Amino acid sequence: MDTMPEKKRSRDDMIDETKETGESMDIDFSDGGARRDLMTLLSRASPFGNENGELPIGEFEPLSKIGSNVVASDLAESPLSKAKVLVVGAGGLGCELLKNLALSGISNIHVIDLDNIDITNLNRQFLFRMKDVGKSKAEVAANFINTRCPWMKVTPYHGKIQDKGPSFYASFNCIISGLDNIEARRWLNATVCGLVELDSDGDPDPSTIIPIVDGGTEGFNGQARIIIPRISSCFECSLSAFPPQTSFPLCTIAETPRRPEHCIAYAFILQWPKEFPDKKLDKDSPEDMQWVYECAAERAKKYNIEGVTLMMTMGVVKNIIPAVASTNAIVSAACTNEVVKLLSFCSQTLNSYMMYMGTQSVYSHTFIYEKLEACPVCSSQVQKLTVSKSMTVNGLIQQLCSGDLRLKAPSMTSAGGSTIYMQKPPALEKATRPNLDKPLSALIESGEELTVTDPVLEHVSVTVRVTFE
Amino acid sequence: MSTNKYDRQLRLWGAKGQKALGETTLVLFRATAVGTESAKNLVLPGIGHVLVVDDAASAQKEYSSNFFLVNQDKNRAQLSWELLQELNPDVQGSFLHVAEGLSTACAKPEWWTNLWQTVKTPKILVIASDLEPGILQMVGQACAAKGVPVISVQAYGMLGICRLQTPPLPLMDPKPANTTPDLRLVRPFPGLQNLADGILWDELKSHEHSHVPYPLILAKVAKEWKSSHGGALPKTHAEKQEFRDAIKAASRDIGKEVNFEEAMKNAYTAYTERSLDLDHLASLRDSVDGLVATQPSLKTFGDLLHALDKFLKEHDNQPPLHGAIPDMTASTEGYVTLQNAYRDQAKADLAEMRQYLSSGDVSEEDLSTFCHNVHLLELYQTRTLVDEMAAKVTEELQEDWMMATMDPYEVPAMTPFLWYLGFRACQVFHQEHSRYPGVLDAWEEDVSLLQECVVKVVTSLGLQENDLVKSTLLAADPPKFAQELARYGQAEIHSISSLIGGVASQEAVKIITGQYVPLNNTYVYNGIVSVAAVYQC
Repeated sequence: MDTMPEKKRSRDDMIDETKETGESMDIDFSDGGARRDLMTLLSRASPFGNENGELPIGEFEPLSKIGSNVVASDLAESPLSKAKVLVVGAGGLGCELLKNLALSGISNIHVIDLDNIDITNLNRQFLFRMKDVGKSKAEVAANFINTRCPWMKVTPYHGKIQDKGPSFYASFNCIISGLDNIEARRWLNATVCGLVELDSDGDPDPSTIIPIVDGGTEGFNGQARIIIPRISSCFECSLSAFPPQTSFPLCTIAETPRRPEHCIAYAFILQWPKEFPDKKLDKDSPEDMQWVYECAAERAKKYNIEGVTLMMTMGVVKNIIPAVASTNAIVSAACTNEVVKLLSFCSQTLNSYMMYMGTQSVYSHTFIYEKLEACPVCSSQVQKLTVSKSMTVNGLIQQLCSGDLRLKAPSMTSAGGSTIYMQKPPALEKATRPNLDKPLSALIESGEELTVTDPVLEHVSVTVRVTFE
Repeated sequence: MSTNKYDRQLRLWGAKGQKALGETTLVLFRATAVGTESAKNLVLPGIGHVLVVDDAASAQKEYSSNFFLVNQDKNRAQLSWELLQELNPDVQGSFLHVAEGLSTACAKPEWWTNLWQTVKTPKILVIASDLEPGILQMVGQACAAKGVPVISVQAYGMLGICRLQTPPLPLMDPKPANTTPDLRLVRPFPGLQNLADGILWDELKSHEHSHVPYPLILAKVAKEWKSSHGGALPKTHAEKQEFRDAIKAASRDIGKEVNFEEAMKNAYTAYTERSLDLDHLASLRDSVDGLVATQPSLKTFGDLLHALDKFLKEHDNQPPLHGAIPDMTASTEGYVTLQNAYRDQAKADLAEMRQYLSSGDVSEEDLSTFCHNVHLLELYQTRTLVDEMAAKVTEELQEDWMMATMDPYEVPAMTPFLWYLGFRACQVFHQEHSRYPGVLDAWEEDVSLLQECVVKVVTSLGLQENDLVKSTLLAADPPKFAQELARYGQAEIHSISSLIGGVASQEAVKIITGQYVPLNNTYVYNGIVSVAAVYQC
């Protein structure tokens, strides 16, 4: 690490320097030396301010007189230095996001991640070193940024996003997510969309809207999007674009393996539980993975199938998605750029989805992701469901899980207030369990509304109107 | 467990790509933020060496927008390398502080000779960060003369530019997202036909019948069809329908035999042959033959192209077989047997190709990669930076630009091409005024001067009659583009630097590994609304 300068670096220094740049006319501009930075943009009026864009969020008011006559108090009034931003995930995107925010003058940051550092993170998660393997990502990342950039105050939280309640999320001006799975995105999106309060006309109260900027990558491809709850489309609106992962048919795995992947699936899906009935496969344990690999290799040999390797075994079992530094940089930078504009209004807003595909030349596409009219999370619309009269409560639960709503463990009460089925607490589950096998028509009228709650959309409830055929 | 820190990237470019990366030196011209960000994304995945070349004596003013600078009294080359080095102990590197300034140094041929001599790896890639137009031209010229690829990166206010100039590169491993399996059903090779002939429908038990792999079903049905149609395959729509009916008829229960369903779905592969573009191959051979004297790195590609030509002549224009088959409904044994038949034929084709090569130096891996991609072979060539800055215009370019303006972004003024023209105007401004517009506090005074440069650029490229260009750049009153660009004052916005650094490093990996397809030749990011596009410039 570099030795830190005596004097604590601060935003004030940055301003002083901007000031010098502006005032001294004898700067040699040809030596690649002093460059202007973001403060220049924040202090100069633009014909393309946020208010003139397609998704206007606020009006750009240049900070007065920065450039030639800056004083520190001006900066204290900068919307960037006043903002409090949450970074969800301290992995490939998260490390980049924290650096980008630090170098954009957004100093008050919280970061949340439940993971510990793994050796395979080091090819891109650049705030981590070999000595950090095994430590908390959020804590190491926060510490690195706070040390390298002394003007920063990054507060880490090592844990799940679900550990925090709505009031935690409500305390931020903006949330950026660099998550690696659909379920966490759904939860976060629903929680933040759920914060929006509607007035008696059903219009959202702007002060309760917290924008989410969401990024994702896969190999050389990635995307960045903006979610302004209730204004633009939300993550749930686009759920159908992320189909659930399909797995190999069981009979192929068990009886007619053809590909090395089938042998690996056989080893970890069928053989592991048989061999170790009391032990869950630990995908991060080298011994466990070695066992799976050997079991798969043996099966492959038996069937003359070539190509089972340890690397492939890890890929199949852990569902590894290739990841590189460059793509993380592109997506995180696009996300941060939007946060800077959302907070300062110094330029226009992405409307609303940008994708980047880097394998065959570069294909870049920016488009409006349309709202889903009956989005269960951001539309206040009732979900309509027509079922047969004989459908049981259990049958309805299955349908809510396998249908478009893709719930995980729904609980439901009727509009009349009676409890149909509750997944927890255990006492209530037990009390409502007998309802599971009853036909729905014995418990509610056709056309009655059910209030459905589910852990995947924890802080919103979905209203489902059930009509019998 | 032998877990590799490069695991997640090896899944993209493999050991061969990783080796190429390790054999490359990145020469970074100027450690501005866009430069250090590009370098970061190459140091992390394990590029072999880095040489930071910079002329800034001090970097103390820039740590607020450059992660690889801190408030220390060192020159920028040294400081940035020290911090970049921490990212990956596998990477070697050094720095070169150019006290006389890059504009002086780059003008001297002996300076370049010395520079290239300090590089010890077989491959070099240059990243030129935020270079002023005069220096950029010199760097572009020197790299072209040396046959070294150069990526010019610029972070300019809300605009980002990534521009590639490379020597001609063979593209023989493009890794497309979707590939068409090479099944050869129209003209089955003997190993395949024998397997199909060995199937006697009536003797199969029901589970065997429902596990015959679909290529064999198709080969069998096609043979029967040919024998009853004078050796011809289905041509008309009606015949194709009949052909599908014949597949259906061969099934015992089409609703239950998934393999026959797969055969129906892939019926077209039995009568539609994927033909090679022979004209394209001929023109590739001509281009490579013409270039190989000055570009020795094209020798292998040229040799392979000529071997392919001989192979095609021997085989009635059928290329070497790929050898891989997709997963399909089949018994294990049936699948493995079929797979082996394809694999054996592919091996035989590869051996034959080897015989046609004039040089023994072509590696087995190169040969098989080439044969796997015969339909996708390209020679990647870029225009030089010098030509771009001299505003040399060709008909092809003008067509490209016409397309770009005919298909604008939803908000036409946000179309990245217009902002590219704006950026070029800032370069022209620099050439005329020895500074970028808007760098002084009286930035608004530069607006009308910059607008003059906009007009110059538009006119020099012959775009003055283009409707979109006219309405947005020329006729606009007030000149919004010039206002916005002057406002930038060449400000270094970190998010723009980081994004372009990401694009540049991704392209660098493609160039170095010879895998995937690099962009040709300019990526323009409009950070106002996050719209980007690639243009030939």
